[in-house]
Amino acid sequence: MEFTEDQIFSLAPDESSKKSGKELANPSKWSKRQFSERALWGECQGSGKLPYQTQVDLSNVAFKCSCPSRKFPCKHGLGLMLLYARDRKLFSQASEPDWVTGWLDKRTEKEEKRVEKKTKEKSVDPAAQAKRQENRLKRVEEGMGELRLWINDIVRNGFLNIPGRGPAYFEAMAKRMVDAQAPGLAAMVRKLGSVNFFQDAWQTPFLDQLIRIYLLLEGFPRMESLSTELQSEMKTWIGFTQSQEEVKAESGIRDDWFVLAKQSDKEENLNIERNWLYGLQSQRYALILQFYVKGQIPEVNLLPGSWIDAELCYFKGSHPLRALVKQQYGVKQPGVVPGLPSWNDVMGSISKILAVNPFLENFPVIIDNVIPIKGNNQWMLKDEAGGGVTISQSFQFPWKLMALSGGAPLKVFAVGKEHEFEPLGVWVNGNYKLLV
Amino acid sequence: MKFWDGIINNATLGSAKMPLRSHDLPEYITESIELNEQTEPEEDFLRLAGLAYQYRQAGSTALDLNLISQSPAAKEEFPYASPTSTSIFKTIMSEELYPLLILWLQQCESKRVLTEPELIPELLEIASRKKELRKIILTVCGKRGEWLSKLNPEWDFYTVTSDVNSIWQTGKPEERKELLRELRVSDPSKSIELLQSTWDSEGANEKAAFLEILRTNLVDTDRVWLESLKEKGQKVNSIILDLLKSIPSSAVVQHYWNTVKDAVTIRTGKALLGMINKTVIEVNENFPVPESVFKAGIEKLSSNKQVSDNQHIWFQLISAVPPSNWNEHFNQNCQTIIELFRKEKKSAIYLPALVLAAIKFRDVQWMKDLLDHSEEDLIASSVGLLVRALPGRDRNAYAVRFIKQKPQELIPILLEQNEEWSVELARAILRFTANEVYAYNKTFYKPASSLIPIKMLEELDSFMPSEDQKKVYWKTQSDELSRLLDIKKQILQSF
Repeated sequence: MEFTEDQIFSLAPDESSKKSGKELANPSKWSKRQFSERALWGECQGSGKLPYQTQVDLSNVAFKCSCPSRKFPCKHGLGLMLLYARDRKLFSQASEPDWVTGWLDKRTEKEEKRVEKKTKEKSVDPAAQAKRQENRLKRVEEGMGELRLWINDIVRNGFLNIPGRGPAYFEAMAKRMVDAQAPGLAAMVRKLGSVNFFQDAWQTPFLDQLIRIYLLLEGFPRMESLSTELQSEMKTWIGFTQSQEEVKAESGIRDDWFVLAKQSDKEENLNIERNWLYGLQSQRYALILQFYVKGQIPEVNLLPGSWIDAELCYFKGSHPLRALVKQQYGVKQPGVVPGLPSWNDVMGSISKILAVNPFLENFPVIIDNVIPIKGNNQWMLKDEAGGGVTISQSFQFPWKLMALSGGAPLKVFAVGKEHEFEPLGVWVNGNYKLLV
Repeated sequence: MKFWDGIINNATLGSAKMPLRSHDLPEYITESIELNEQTEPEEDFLRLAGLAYQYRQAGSTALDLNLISQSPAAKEEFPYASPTSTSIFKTIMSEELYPLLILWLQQCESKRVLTEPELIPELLEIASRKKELRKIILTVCGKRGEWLSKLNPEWDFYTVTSDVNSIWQTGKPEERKELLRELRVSDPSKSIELLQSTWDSEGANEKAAFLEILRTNLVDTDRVWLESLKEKGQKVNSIILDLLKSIPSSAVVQHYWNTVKDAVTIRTGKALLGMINKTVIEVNENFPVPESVFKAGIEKLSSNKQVSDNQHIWFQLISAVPPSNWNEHFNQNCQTIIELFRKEKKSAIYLPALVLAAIKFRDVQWMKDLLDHSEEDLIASSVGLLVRALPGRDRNAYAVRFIKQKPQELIPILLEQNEEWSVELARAILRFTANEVYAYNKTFYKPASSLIPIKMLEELDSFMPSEDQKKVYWKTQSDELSRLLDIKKQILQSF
């Protein structure tokens, strides 16, 4: 498996770790540098008497180091992997020493136990569960009734005074939804309040979000007439969570998955990581969402631009995207990801998805032969037939995209809807480049 | 989508003032769905807007961009740099190691390879901030860089450099100065041509600023134009005079020479009771000085009590004429003349004037001979000035000789140069800085890394200071320097 430096840096917990990792990507710092089929290890002299023993699981990327650092991965893990990515010749192939074998075996054993444990059904009291469910439904319905009145109020009075209402107006209703045990609706209300009222035509995203809430409020009482997939979808939007154990208990899709992009965000102390994947045989996209606080280790480490052999389980829903990695079997050799031929084909496929799930907000797409261009002060992606979409205003790397293209067509991975998409990666001469 | 704009109008005013009805939507949206009008206008609005929203989303088609086109970048003539050198570039940029960036760019240029396209925006951004790197950046960015820069007015340096006259005629003051600065280096005669073309219409401040730029590469051919200028302003005239004072063939320098040449003579007399001949240089301090010399910038009065007014006048005159004139005048080489000046206390006081003259007229031979044959006191006071004025290779050689005596004075000067230090010089500098761990830290080693040869990597441990308390500091600094030199080594190996 080839790793690029960008891929490795994407695993670093912070900037200082990146810098220290680079400093340690120096053969003179390592007294031992070896690798096997499944791991990479080395010994680095630190400030202590004995050298630190650093190891990297190459098949399901993970790190372990005997240094006292609380960062994960530590600078030694990053440095060792960077050195391996830069010059593999510096490492000799060897049989794994006990300290490496022990760790790898423990990892495998742990993973198996975890899957086994999670798949075992928890013993629950069905009567108590039904009672709790009934109570919750009642509270949600009451909350929805209030939310409906609140929306009607906005519609009756018009949007004119909305920007002046301030965040408290939305926060009060969001809190009410939390009390009503509908955290999904609370998040939707918060999103409504977070519309940028200073941007031109803010009314459209505001109304779009208002309508999405309205659709949920209208659909909920009629749930029984809808498909089970859409029922699950709506429940998720309202805030009924599906436990990871339940999701992983289902049989998943084992495929060669290409890691298309990793988008990281921070909300207060919480890191939110969105990993976009594409399955070569299943031809399905998957979104692996991970939430973790600072200092915590994300459950899976996915390297954008890499191929993994893994079994993924999707959350229940109508045309679901969100999934979990049930088991990772190792890395795979690069394959060729197919793209759609035109934007109208993209729009057509999105229409089909919307027909079964009107709540989806963003759609991942891979499209062939599009040229990034600038016209009317806006960045756009134009296909061979002359059709196109605009690039989101929030996209930070339009010049990098232009430089990579040089006015020639590219295969692009983008996420968006209608006429606005954000490119996250491109293929240049068969090599995948991240737009970060 | 007009129907959506209509809905937004309704939404803005509110359903109480402007209710939305099914007939407000186009028939193609409402025809296939049975819509019963509700009693509440809010309900109607949400139902109809919800329907239109679904229609808008699901019925979306691609924008027609047939009218927007752009030609692709021309094919590159040279290959791209290796992936390894690209990743080193990223390290350099993330740590803002600009001195090493210059080395990286020079390597690209000398090996005739181009930077990977993805790096071009970052490089063009640097080019917009660091004008001195613009030329080399444009070279290594190739055709793709040229194509990209034309799409961004802030990076369009190619157009700027190609149309010199229009920038000179219509450009902003800073652009004009920049252009003049560039031309002064690349084509000095063209810079004079441009100045002449608009000189009469320039204001006094502009004239002064442009003349200051002429100090770079001042040549004999500039003299004719500078001497022909008849300016009213004192500020401009004073700069013109100052410039002419640096041109050996100018009337003012000639006037100084004609005054000073007969006052300085070589005299041979008897010494040791007439047993030997003694040759000395004499400066006749009572030699008449025409009034015109004082009008041409020579001060009459000394501000130093230990220097008489006459000595002050002759000191100024000796420092204002090319030192090579004395070689011809006395038919002697520099060493002999310096030794003659050194012989007598009365003449030795004029040696610093010769130092100033050698620097002013950029006379390398005189500078070297002054460093080789002067007394310690003179060297101590002028070694910094002379070493700074020497060209690269000579500077290295003389710096090695004098670094032990004047490390603090010479190191900042040596940091300014572009050429790498010789191994010997780097060794001498590191031997000093390793012992001065508190004064020389990361802020010194970062810019110095591009000047220190990578051979020093093997020797860093040998500079360990003897004092225990300094050892820990040096270890930290030597680790940092080792890392920087390692990046430098990788740059050199990756091309």
